Amino acid sequence: MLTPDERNHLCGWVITNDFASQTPRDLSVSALVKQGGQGAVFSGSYDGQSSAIKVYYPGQLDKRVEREIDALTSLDCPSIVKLYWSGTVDYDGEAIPVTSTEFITGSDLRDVIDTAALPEAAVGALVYDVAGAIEALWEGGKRIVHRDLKPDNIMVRANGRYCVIDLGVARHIDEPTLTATGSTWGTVGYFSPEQARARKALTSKSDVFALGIIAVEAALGRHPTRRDQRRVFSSGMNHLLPGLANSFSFAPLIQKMLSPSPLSRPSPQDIMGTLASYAP
Amino acid sequence: MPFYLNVGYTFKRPPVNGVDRSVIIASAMPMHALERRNIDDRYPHLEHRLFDPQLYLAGLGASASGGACANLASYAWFGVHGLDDFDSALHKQSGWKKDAEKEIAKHWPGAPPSNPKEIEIAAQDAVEFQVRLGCEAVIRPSPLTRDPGSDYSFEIQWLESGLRQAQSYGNGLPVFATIAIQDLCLLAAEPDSNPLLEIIADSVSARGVDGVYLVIEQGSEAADTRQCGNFRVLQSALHLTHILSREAGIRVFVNFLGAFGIACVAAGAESWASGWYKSLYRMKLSDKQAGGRAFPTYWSDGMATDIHLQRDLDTLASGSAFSSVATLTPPSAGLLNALSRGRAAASVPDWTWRQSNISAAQEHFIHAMARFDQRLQPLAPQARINTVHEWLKQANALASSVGPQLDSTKLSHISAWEAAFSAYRRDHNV
Repeated sequence: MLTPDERNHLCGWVITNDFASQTPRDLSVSALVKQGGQGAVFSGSYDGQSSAIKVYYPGQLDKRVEREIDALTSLDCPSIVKLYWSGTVDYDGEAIPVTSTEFITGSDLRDVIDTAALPEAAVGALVYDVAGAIEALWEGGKRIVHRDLKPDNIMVRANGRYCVIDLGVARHIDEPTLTATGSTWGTVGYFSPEQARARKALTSKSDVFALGIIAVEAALGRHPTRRDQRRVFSSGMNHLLPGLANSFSFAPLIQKMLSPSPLSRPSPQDIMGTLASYAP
Repeated sequence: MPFYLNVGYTFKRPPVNGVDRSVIIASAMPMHALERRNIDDRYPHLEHRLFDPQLYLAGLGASASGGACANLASYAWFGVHGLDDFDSALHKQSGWKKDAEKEIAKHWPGAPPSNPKEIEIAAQDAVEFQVRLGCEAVIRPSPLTRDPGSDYSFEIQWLESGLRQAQSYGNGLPVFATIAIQDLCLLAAEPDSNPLLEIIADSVSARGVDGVYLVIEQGSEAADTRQCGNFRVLQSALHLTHILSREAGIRVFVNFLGAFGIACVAAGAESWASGWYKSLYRMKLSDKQAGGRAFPTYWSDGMATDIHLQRDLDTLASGSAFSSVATLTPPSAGLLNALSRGRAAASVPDWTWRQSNISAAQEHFIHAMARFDQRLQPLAPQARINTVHEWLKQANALASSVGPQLDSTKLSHISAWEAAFSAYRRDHNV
């Protein structure tokens, strides 16, 4: 775990030529945007296009991370932020991962929800788009589970469609150390039951559960249990959604997404099929 | 895909009405022997066929189970190197088998291939072989799950390889993913709170397979019976069948649970398989050891058990409950006729309790299973559940009432079957 001073040092270093010399020539960093728990995000450009450049704090990197980053590179899904480049740079003798992604002009869903609850049509589009992202990560043999879907990781594009960012890359980097202590990766309030039990072999159905919570949160304008994870499991949302969400025409679908058993949850494809009228 | 007959080395058999489906198992014969058989023209019960690649037997001990291991070693997906390949110019089949049995302990790895490249090749071999054999679906091989705390990652690796290869080489056939679990993994927890079962069901169903092929290795069961009698194991089989078929909506094929496969059909299994021999009826690794000869038994639908021919059938025949015990099939008509006239079972040559005199007993069992299945298949799901539950309740009551008169007939599994089915209905509210 880096101290605040160490993080600042790393961020300062990224702006220097030492960092630039280790990245492709068509990638450039211009300014620090924000510091998060796993790394720092910078604005910049890649191959002439605006880019968000994320530099992860020192951690472990294994073969699986490389493989899954490769898979992400090949993704072409409108509701997943596009990965332009990924690699590692040497920082004080340690290889740390760097990703360069599409820079999305818009707001993150957290800010949008904090302002006002979303109407039914917007929630339908949100669930449709993010289900597409879950499907794209899982299918085609990629078998990637995001594990950290939450409003903070979803951007609302200028055209009102939704896009998943962060790509779950951090999950893979941190997993070896976290699982060693019996922990799991993700955010309290959005865990599926199986993720909360620190199950390692998760499937796309775990992301489907998190998307169900996000849908309810978007409909209410607040997290349905104020991020109380235990109440997420005990609130019976798989039978009755709270507030206005229960009046939505697709409420039964959201209820199924919140089933305690992953087997009872719809697949991302099923979700997109049910919500086809909300497709772009 | 309803009742399938498990077939061993011998394919030739009298026809049974409604039995035109079989499962050929890898351990029964070497690959070259199987490939040389003219299956299409000669065996009506193999008209529709599946092939179980039995990778879950990779942990067999070669010194104790040399015959089975030699057979399995001939299939590429076991990754055995060093044994001579069969060459008809050089070997007779029996000679090859004899040599292979002598050598197998030196070469048998005792575990499935674990290198990703080897797994990929093995999965391809298994798919291509089943297509070549004319199977109606591809059963994707899986290692045996032995650790209750498993994260299932090794099995998932095999599953993913199998799916990739089936997509490339499977000829469009439906793909069934093998789920092979050792019973020890099922004993410590209620099925709906057993994390392993959730991991397995979620991992398999989320990968878009057409179905699953469920095998439970019954290593904890006694050697002197072929019936699975552990309540928790039976309950887990029903639970897994239910959640996969009714919740995940995929096809379930249950094998090696003997006549309890009927109960699995009521829980949602589309198909089930059994054979008469112990090695075809249940899956227990130690059953693969050489030795032991078969004696005939009389299967009773009414009591859901095999009645001991020498010690118990005559006793039952002289009692008032025999009409409930008797199961009339073409192969047993002569026996029942003799018993009704007061003659002993031993007086009917086909049913004399003598080593290897098992043809009639075997045919009788197959007729009974096929008929029970045909009775069940047309029923609606709830009617199947009611019918099977009624069967098990009556069998349990009958076993309780006549049990004290019996000497050698195994009865203890019957109450376990009934209790497991009751628990299944309660747990799933069906």
